[in-house]
Amino acid sequence: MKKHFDLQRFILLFVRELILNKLSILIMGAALTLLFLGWDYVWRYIHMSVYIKHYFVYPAAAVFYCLAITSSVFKELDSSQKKIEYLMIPASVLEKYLVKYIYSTFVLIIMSIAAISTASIIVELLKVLSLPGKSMSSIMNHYTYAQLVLVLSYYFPLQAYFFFGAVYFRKLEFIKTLTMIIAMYGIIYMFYSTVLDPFTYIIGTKYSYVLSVNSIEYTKDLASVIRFVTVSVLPLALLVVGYLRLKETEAADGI
Amino acid sequence: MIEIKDVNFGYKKRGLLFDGLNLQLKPGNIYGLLGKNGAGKTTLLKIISGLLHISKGELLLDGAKIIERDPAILQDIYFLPENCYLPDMQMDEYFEIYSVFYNRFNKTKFDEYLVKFEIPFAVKLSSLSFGQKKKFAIAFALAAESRILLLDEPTNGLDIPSKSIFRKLLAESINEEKVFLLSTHQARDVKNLIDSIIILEAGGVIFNQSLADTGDKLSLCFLQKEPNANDILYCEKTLGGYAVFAEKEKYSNDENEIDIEMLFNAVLEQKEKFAAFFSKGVDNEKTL
Repeated sequence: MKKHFDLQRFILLFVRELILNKLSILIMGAALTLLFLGWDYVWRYIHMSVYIKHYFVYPAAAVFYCLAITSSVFKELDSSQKKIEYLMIPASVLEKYLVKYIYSTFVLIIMSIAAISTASIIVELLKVLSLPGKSMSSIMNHYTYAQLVLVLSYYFPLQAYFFFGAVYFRKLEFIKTLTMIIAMYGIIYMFYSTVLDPFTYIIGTKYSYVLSVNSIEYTKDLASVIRFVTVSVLPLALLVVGYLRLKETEAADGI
Repeated sequence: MIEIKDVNFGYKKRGLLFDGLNLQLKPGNIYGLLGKNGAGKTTLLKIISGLLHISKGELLLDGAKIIERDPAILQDIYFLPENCYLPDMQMDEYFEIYSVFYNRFNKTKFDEYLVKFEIPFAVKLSSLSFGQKKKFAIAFALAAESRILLLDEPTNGLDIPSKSIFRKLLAESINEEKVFLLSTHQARDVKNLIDSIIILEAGGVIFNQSLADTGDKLSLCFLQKEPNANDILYCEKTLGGYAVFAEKEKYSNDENEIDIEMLFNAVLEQKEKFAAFFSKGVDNEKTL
């Protein structure tokens, strides 16, 4: 038996995940679709740009929804009975972790896109039915491939924080993760504004213009380093720490 | 088969529970795990399942570390908690999803056990009563054919006929490769089923003997007069006399059936006497 990863076991676990969550997937999908439809109705009265609706509000709502669901993806670990059942399934920790990750990323993303598309189709159908002679707008082609990649490139790092929160925190995972992110960015901002900004200012005013330009470049570089760390390194590190945390998960906290 | 060597374990809020625990579970046996509330019976089952991390010592299944929770080890250890969780799905769906994780799962036996327990087919698991859920879980656990079966209070919630069926199925299922460990407060429910008794107390095993050995060495007699305390191990006042545990050579009894509940009380009350008595037997065996 393959110790860490076996494709058959992985598929079986994934099927288990889908079957156990099929009802909640459908309910959440329907809720999201209804939410989009509601917004669309409100949109007609506030006369805001359709562009904002499709390129900001819908994706933002979908991302929020996906992150909220991601936070509860390890809900089995919240209940002592479910925890035992889950931890005793004869599959490796890696397989269990990957299944949850794939479920909380790809399944939820597909679900969100389906909800957006369903809402759009319903809106356009209603428009055609209620206003005879009006043709349907393009409904399935709101996002270009590049736009989708851009959204996902922001979504995956952010989702990694919430996935980590799901495995690390018990109860109120979403709020706790959100607090963690706010605190982390708060510390970075304070460090940036109290240490780096004055440094740039002092160098720039007291000495020469060249030094000032150099220091601005320096802080710019540092900002990109911070950005690289928070968007690439930290999410990957958190995914690894989350895996190790799941590996150490017990039925109760021992000493 | 299962070796627990010098194990320390405790809970954060309650401190150390097991301090240098040693235990061996050999195949072909059904062990009864007894102890007062809070003695650590369920904790021990969780430790053996790899669900709790020990702070010191070793926990091995045929030489492999259980705590690593390898899929192969998890296939070999089936832990059925007192309040087992069954997801909200159809019975056959549960079978299809979970049985495939156990490569020795026996579908024919599973169906047979469900029939014996009179569990209705093709229903949602959430629609079953507590007792029916328990019987379904027991049937599944036995059909999984895991080598180590750990049952926590398995008879809780079972009606009287089901307890009898449970005993019968367990007795049929044990073989030379398997170990069953039953934690229970209902000593009478496992009468004529278990062949060894383990008693936990104050963070350790204070009694670990086969019932056959115990029966060979100990005698349970009912006397009308109170015996001399030096001649016996334990004495309990009963209706019309005294129930006495004594060395068989001193008090022989032809119908020597060990009452598990009484033995449990006796061992708890006379720990030192029982420990000395059984270690004397071991010393003699070593000398021979």
